[in-house]
Amino acid sequence: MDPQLKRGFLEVCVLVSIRQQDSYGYQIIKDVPPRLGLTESTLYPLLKRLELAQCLTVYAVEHSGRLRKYYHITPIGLQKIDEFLAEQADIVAIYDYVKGGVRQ
Amino acid sequence: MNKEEFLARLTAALGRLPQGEIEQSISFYREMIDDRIEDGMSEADAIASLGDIEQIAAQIIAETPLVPKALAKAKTGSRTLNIVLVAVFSPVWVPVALALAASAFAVYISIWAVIVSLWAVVFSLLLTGVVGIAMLAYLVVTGHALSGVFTAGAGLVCVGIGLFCYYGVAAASKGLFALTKRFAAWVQSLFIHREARHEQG
Repeated sequence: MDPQLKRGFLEVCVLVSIRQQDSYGYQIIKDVPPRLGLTESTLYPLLKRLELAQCLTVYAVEHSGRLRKYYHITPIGLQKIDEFLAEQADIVAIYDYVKGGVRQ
Repeated sequence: MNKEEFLARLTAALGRLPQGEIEQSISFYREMIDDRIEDGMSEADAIASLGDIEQIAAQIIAETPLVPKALAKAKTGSRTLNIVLVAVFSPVWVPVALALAASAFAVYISIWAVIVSLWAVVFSLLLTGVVGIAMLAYLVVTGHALSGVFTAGAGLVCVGIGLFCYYGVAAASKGLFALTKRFAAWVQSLFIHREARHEQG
């Protein structure tokens, strides 16, 4: 998949994975379907970008003698998920158009 | 390779990024390794599953704004210069940013100074015409009519040049003003990553 496109999708996937309850890096990687190819090296910059865009907040919790960072979704992050879902019809329309063009 | 070796190598690969940036990345990868081990993986497997260190570093550097990135990529070949760059850029980032902002402001002011001085030239050329006419009146009254005509003539020549320059200066101001805008946009692009802005939209 085109990297730019994939990154946009993965951002929403990460937001969805912390929507129900706060989560941490490794758990997010396990939760997002493997097919989407979310790895540490893609997750790290992605979390930073989402934090910068105020879609999530970060806090540290002590866990077996070390600190673990948890990510909490913000109203802006929730809104981003809604916006993504609202765009579904537009995306499907693009696919339909391209498919139609290929068939001709 | 064990965990500490992996993190040390990653630190080295990120070597020239700002200190805070490196610490964040390292703590993220440390947590990732610890969580995998806790999940039942061996230390070696946990590290192997993270992938190539150079690629990880390249990805982190690619997401960093242009100025720190340029620094991270700078292989000056001079040990002294590298040390100077690191010393200047890592712990005192804020004063450096202020200095850069001041330089940018200076460039901005310089461009405006050129615009103002060009208009001053046009204005004074036109003013010379007015003064020339006034001098004509004064010199005729005091009985130096010929000198008066000469002065007025010189004044009118200046008005002519001034009017001619007006069009040039008007066009130049427009161009210079556009230049200040382009300059401002360029300075902004050095510090704000395009993706970050794109995300707001």
